[in-house]
Amino acid sequence: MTEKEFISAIKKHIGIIHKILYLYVDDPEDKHDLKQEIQLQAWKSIGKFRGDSQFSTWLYRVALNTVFTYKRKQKITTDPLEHHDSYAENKTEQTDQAELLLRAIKGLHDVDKTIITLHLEDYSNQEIANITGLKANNIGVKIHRIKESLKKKLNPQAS
Amino acid sequence: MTELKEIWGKLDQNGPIDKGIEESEIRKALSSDSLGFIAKLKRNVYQKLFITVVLTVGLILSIPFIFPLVSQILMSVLCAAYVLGSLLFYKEYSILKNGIDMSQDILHGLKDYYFRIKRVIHYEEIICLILYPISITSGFLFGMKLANPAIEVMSGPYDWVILIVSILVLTFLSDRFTKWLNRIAFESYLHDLKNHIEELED
Repeated sequence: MTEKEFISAIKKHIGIIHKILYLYVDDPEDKHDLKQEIQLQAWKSIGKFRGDSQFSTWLYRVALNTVFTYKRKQKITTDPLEHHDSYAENKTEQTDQAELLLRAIKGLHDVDKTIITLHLEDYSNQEIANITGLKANNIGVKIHRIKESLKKKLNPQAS
Repeated sequence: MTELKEIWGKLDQNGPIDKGIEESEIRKALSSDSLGFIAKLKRNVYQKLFITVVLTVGLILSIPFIFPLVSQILMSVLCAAYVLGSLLFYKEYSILKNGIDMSQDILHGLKDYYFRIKRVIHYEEIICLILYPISITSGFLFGMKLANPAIEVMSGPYDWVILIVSILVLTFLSDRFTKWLNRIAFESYLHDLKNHIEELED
């Protein structure tokens, strides 16, 4: 892949990097540095992209490896849903629901965040296993557990 | 879960996620230095290797001009320690030089990172046992000689006892100090990596 093709692919899939930055990083300086680092690591590893998987799948792997091995200045410690004032009022608004879901996912542990994000992005259990290194037969169990945890966070009255 | 997927699908419309990127920003990222932990460690080790090699060459070139013989012997011991230190720093550098494959799965990427850093820490601790006590002791003795050239350093058994005791004490203190510095530099980071590895292996 030439540099021009790589830049074009990054522009097309930049949403992946932005989602990962939102979910895993709070500190603005970390966000800026990681955004740059993910692109750099992707370019350095581009020789290993053989085209047998989609570029988006490969980019997820690079981005998540970069985030997991990066020494972040600040970890996400508080529940991002705690201070969301419009949590009950705007439940019917689709975009607010999406934001609530995003915040609920943001409050999970890093590995759980990875699994549920990939699942919501329509990756199969086997693909998730290939990206994470988890055993494929564990993925379903973990997704179920994470789903229950998210439901409790999004509907505390119901639970 | 289908409902959650539908909600997730609405994310791109409006929300807190940034949109788009300029080509100039991508090009800048591609030409920047890596900010990764191992890349920073590699630069740090390279600087230490460079300084150690320069000092080694300087010491070797100055041996013929040092008198008396006992000072030459001390200087030679110091040189040998620096040569060994250089080799060990080079070994560290070569461990870090080969980049980690960031396109492998997360579990193996984390394990690669974790074990590579552990190996570097191991070499740092060996270097501290070899290089620093001998450097400090030699520096002390040379300083004594420079302060009072009339005194014949290492002329009697008492001087040798002081030298050996100094090396033993300084070796112990260097080992403790290096382990403490490594704990500050690496412990919390390695702890996070290990936690992630255990979660993925669970």
